[in-house]
Amino acid sequence: MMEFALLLFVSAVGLAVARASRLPSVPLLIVAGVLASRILPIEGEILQDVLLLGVAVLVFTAGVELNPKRVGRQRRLALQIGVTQFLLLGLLGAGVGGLLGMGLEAALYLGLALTASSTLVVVRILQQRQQLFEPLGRLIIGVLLLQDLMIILAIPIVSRLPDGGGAVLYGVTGTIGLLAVALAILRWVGPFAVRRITVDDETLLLVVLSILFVFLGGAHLLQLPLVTGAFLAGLALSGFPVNLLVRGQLNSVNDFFHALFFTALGAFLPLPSLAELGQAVLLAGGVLVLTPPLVALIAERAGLSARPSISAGLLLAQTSEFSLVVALLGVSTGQLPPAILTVITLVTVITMAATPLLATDRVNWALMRYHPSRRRTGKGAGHTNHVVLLGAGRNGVTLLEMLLITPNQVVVVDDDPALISRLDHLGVDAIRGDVSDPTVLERAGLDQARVVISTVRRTGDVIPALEMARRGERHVPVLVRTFSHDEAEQVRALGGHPVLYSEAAAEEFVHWLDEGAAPDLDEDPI
Amino acid sequence: MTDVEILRDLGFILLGATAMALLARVLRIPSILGYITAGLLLGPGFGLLEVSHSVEIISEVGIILLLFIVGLELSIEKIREVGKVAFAVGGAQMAVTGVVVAAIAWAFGLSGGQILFLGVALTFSSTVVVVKLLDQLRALDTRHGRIAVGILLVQDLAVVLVLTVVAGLAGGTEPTTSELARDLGGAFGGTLVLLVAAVAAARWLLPPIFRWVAGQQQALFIFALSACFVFVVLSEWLHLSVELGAFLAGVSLAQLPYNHDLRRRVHPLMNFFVAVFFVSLGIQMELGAALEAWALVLALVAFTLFLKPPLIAHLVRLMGERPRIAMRSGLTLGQTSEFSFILGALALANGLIEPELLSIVGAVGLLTMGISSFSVMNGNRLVEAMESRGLLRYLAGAGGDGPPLPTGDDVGSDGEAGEADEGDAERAPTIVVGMNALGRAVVKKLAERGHTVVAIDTDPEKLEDLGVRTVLGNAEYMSVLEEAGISSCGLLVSTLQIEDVNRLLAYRARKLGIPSVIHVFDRGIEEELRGLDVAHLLNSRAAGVRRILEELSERGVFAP
Repeated sequence: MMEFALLLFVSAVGLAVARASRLPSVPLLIVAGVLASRILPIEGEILQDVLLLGVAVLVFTAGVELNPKRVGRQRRLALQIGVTQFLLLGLLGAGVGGLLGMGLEAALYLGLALTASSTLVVVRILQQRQQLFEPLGRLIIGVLLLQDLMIILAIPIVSRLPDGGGAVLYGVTGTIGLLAVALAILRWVGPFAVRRITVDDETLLLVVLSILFVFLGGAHLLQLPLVTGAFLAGLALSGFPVNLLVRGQLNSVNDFFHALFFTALGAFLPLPSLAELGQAVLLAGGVLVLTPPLVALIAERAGLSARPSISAGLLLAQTSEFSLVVALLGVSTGQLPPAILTVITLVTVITMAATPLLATDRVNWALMRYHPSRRRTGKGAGHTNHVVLLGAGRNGVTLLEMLLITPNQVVVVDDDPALISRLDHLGVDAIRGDVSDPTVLERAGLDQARVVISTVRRTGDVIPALEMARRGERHVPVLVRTFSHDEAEQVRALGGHPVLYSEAAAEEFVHWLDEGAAPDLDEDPI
Repeated sequence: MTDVEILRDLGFILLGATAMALLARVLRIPSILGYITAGLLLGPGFGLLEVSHSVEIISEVGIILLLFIVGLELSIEKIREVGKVAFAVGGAQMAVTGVVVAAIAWAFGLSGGQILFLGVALTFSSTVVVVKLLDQLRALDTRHGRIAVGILLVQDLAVVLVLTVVAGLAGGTEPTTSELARDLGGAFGGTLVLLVAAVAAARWLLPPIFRWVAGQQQALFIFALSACFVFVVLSEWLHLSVELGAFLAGVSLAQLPYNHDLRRRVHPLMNFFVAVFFVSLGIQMELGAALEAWALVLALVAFTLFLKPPLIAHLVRLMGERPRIAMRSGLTLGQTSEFSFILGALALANGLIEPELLSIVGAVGLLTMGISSFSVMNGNRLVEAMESRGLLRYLAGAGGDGPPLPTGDDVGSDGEAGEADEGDAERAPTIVVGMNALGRAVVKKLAERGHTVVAIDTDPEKLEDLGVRTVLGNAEYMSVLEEAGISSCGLLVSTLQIEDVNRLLAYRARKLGIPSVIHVFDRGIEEELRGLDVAHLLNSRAAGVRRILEELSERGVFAP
């Protein structure tokens, strides 16, 4: 019991440091585990048990989250980016493995480990930015889900390689068989059970965990890795509403094993040698440097505009918790030397810790400067009594459509080259530039405008526009999209006109309620 | 990673538990009985499984979490309220029960040592079974629930003392009086240290730490569990029971505003671990010898089931509690304890008893735990039936009118906490989930129009200054919605920017026949939400753009 308590306590310390440093919890839990195992008596047996149960729960939960609905309309794009990134990074990783003198199987494991990006880290960042359900967020979720799926499908192949082609074929057939069972449950059994049977929370949890163990047993019988069974069990429960009903029960179990698993993994690892540290830094550097341009290039070729393309690249530039699962599996089957597990874990720690520092607006904007766009400026200058639209994202585009049917001259300012290029083709006067850059605002003739509308996400970016608008002889009215009362106050203090979206929606809601609460779903003109 | 023994064991245990829990549901019997039966089938029945060290640890974690939840439920004030009753009744009951059990054993011709062992081992009631059942009934916070838990904790304290004595006897040499006094003094002193630590932690240490971490759900959860296990380790170090440590950790956290949320989050984890505990209990049973001594087993079972409850009820009544509460407290404690197995195993390992006696203790434990779970689950009905047949008359004159009932239970309800009824006076409230800017604006406007509103969020800071009833917790948990009164609400509004939870809330509202209003920020899922019969879609983006267009229109931008 003492060892278990210690492990839990070390996890709490790791989470506390993550909280204080605002870094992702996974690398800090691992580091806490590594350090703790040097000074505290944490034995191997409990670590083995926690790692086994942790892997099963972690991968199972990832399977439950595998709902294509979360990707929305970005499925095709996610498929293009996901598959290309998986293949390119996988080949690159395996190639590096070969150069480092690894055998084929070890190199393949390394390649697989480097292909995945971390769902845990990326989802948290997207949640913090409230972008999880924006098109960019959906796209990235789609890529992550696809990566997980491809790794799970590749694992049975790689793990059976030493036993020859027949074993690989058997592994693939077994996986397909288990996948068929999972899909049958997903398609028919789950929805039927939800319609017909109502069980209390306690029984629901037991049923869910039993399904996990049935699949684990199935995978064991078919000589498949347990992660394959765990993931397919999750997949079986990933349909709506089953996934959401079980998630309430699984949250705590997952949080518990998640914290313990990464701490136990840290405690399980030997201290890296200098050579391993060097290899890890080299590989981590490769992931951090190569992923953003690679993903951005694929994304932009697939039709995404520049800023979200770069943002996607920065967000996906880390290895994953699945990389650790892959490496652990490789070590357990004897195909991967334990030293490579240490290297992969180090790469994961470094890249995960780096992600929140790199996937920021500031880095995004900095990289935008190197975007190979030919169009540098718009016409802009010379207008008077026109309408200036700052930001042509989803809100801005809707407004632009309405404005373009009026006789007003409209000038759009946005920093997305692909978007500007498209507007240019449509004959819209569009200026590429940072909305917080006074020279860009001058080119847009902001001080001569009839009205300025800002739909940019961050209120702070609008401050130069607000200052410029009241600098001249006449105050140009600036309407600014805001979310909170604090933002609205800030805008008002600078002479702008805040438009509180939350307030507008709340007023429409009470209006609907006052009108008798009749459903009015088709009234929306936007 | 290759040693999958733990996965195989857990797989068998969970599959057995699930199958028997589903069967128990069909047969309308308590799930605990199903778990123990699953264990009997897996172990003594088919010989499929033995309890490994890892499963033992999981079982122990289950008991720790169970007692932690009890602690989370009970604040220091609530414990103080029933402390006197618990100590007086707990002490007297143990003495009387011990004597009666010893008398039965003597009547069946057992030896002095055997009589003493049975008298001690069978006097206690089962903390794990009772707490699990009360939790299932949501009756931990009722008066009879609190009295029962109080008595059980007093018994736990006695258990520590008994184990101290048995451990002393197990040394081979008889302990001297001074050694015994030292050990007992140590146990009392340790308990005092633990109590002081719990009170100090609740007052000074835990509030700032938990306030700091409150915004992060996982960290809050792991911090709470860590606090629990710090107390457990401290308790072990002081040679006290882990249950006591877990309970006091829970009590110290019960003072924080997050206690309900923590309880909800610990609950699923506890359900998993405790199911393993009960199944493993069944696996370890060896009932062969008990069948040969069936008459003694039946006599002990009959006493525990039919005489112990009225005896406890009488003692509770003597402390001034009402007859119904007294009887429900008694019925709740009508079983022997899992401690009797532990004590038996310890005594057997040290050569103090024979294996046959352990088998008898096991059989009595299983039968009384199983059968008493019916009387606990149907306590209200049983008490009503007893009252209508005049069986409670013997309690009528024993005490006074009893203290006022702050939680309002035991007057007809099946034991739900009285606090849950507070909202009944308010008609059809509107529940608003998610206190972001939109949620706060919606709550404000509804309150201005005189609506009764219940606001839900996971962040305590966002629930401040709303001027309406608030519930802290994750709306994914049905228990959070239940606490907010979803069954009686008139409208469910979600302003969350979390698509999955919005879907789930729309689904739950449709299932309950409640109209829902859901925040939609991507038109791609509008159709799906319409399919879930959402009455109105809150589209903040569209509303914002409309507002800008209105402003532009007012400024003549659209004029020709």
